[in-house]
Amino acid sequence: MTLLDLVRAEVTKARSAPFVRGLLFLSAVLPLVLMLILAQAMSTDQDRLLRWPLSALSVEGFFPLVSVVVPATLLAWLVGIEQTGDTWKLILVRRPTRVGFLIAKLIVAGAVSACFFLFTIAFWLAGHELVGLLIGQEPTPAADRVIDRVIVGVVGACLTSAIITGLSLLGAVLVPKNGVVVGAMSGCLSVMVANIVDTKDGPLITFVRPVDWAAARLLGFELPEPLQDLDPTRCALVLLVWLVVPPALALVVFARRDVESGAG
Amino acid sequence: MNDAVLVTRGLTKRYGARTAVDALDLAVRRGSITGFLGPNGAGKTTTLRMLLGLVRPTSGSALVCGVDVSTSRPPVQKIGAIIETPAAYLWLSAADVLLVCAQTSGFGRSRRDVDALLARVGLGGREHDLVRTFSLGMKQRLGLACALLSDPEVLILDEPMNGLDPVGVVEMRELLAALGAEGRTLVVSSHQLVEIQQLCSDIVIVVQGKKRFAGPMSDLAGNERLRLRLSDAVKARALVTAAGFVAAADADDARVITVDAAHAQAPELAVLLVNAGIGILALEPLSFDLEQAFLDVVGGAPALVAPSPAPPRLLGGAA
Repeated sequence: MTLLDLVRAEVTKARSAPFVRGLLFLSAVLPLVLMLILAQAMSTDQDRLLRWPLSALSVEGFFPLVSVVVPATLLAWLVGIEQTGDTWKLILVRRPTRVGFLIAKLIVAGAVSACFFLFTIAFWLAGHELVGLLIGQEPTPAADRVIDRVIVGVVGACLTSAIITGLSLLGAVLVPKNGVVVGAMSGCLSVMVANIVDTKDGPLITFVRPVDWAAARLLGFELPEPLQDLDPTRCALVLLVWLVVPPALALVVFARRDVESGAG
Repeated sequence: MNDAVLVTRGLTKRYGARTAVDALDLAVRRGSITGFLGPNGAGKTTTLRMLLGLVRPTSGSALVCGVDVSTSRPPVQKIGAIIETPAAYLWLSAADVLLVCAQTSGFGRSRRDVDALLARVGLGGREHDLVRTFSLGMKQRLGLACALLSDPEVLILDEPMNGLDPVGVVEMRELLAALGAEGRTLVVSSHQLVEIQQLCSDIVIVVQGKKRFAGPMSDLAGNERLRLRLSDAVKARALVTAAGFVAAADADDARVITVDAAHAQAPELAVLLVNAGIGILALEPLSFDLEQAFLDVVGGAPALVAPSPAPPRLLGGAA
């Protein structure tokens, strides 16, 4: 009775789930659609690409968005669907402890999100080439350097995703009756709130600057100007708190919670 | 109680000011099939959830196969359960649901095992059908298959016959009886008292979280009774009471009394009444009816009724 058994069970559930299949389908379709939108904009008014909403569809805008929305939504679904389908009672009675269930869901959410991310990059590149051939020019500015940009941002994206999934997990566990919605919202909204709250000279309480700081340090980059003055110990501590506390709290709450009926 | 496989002592669950289960003391004999009865909201499901470790007791203890599940990890491999409405992943096939349950339990099941289990619960040939296409009764059967995966020695089944058609109810009852005959201990909560009466050896009745009755079905049945329709029930009641019987008037029919007496005492009683000039329109031995016994325990309704309507038989006296 190992964690691997639970991960296999989660994979069995997820691989046939319409939600997960739809998500992976989107990973193929979305980049192609976005590429066409960008190409159309590029051919008419290139300045539009720098303005909202098209700015969000650029490499710098789209991939960070995906790295937040997908894991948060996926994990919220994996946890919330057990409550709305009233299936916790089916599986929890099969193991003496509960913590493994959530850890398995975190692992599967991470794995599926990684698949989504890789598919999206692949289809983005494929779409870029395809649309480029069709219209006879680069469909997006510097989109051919997408891999470089994604790789540069991958550490930050992974750290942010890990924090987001933890917050999403906490939301889904704390409000089980609406776990899917609350979990996804708590994950996604926390990024928005963190970005609003975090200011260049403000107190170091959100994960925004610590993530950037950690990503730069891990990749061996020189710290950009706003991050150079940060206290490394405080940065690491804040990051650790955001990474550990929400999922740990979720695990404790889940382990002690009464499992009552259904969605209603 | 050494042969008890499920024991609760002072088991209590409170939700705020509401007490769902109130100091419940129970002991379920190993190898018995126990009917766990009570009106809606009596605390049955909460009790079963506490036995399974899904709900934490406020106080008291619950021992399952010797393990106190209020403080320790429940012996999950020894227990199979269906709780309330059957739940399954609607987008999976029946075989995949069993696979998920097997993987969750940490043991492998071969395809042949899964097929055999589904066939045993009456879902043979439906292995690849999606659960979303199943009726409530079929989901109930699938739930039972999941409960049987670990070949448990204790089965806790909450409304296992819910949603089954009449044939399905009979099949389920026979299946549960067969599982009991294999030496398993079954706790079956159900509102289908006719089925419980046929299936169970022991009965537990809870009302508002408190135990009202626990013991063998025969204890609940109590003494045999006779029901008499008479020309003069008032006079007859006084007469039989004077003769040492306990008699009760019928609330609905002024000419009927019920006498606590063995069925073999019917002739003696008849002679007594006829000699007093009281006409006996009908004399019926009452058979045990769990439904009435249940109503009697929970609400004071008469516990015994006639097995079937019988034509009036004039044994003596005037009508």
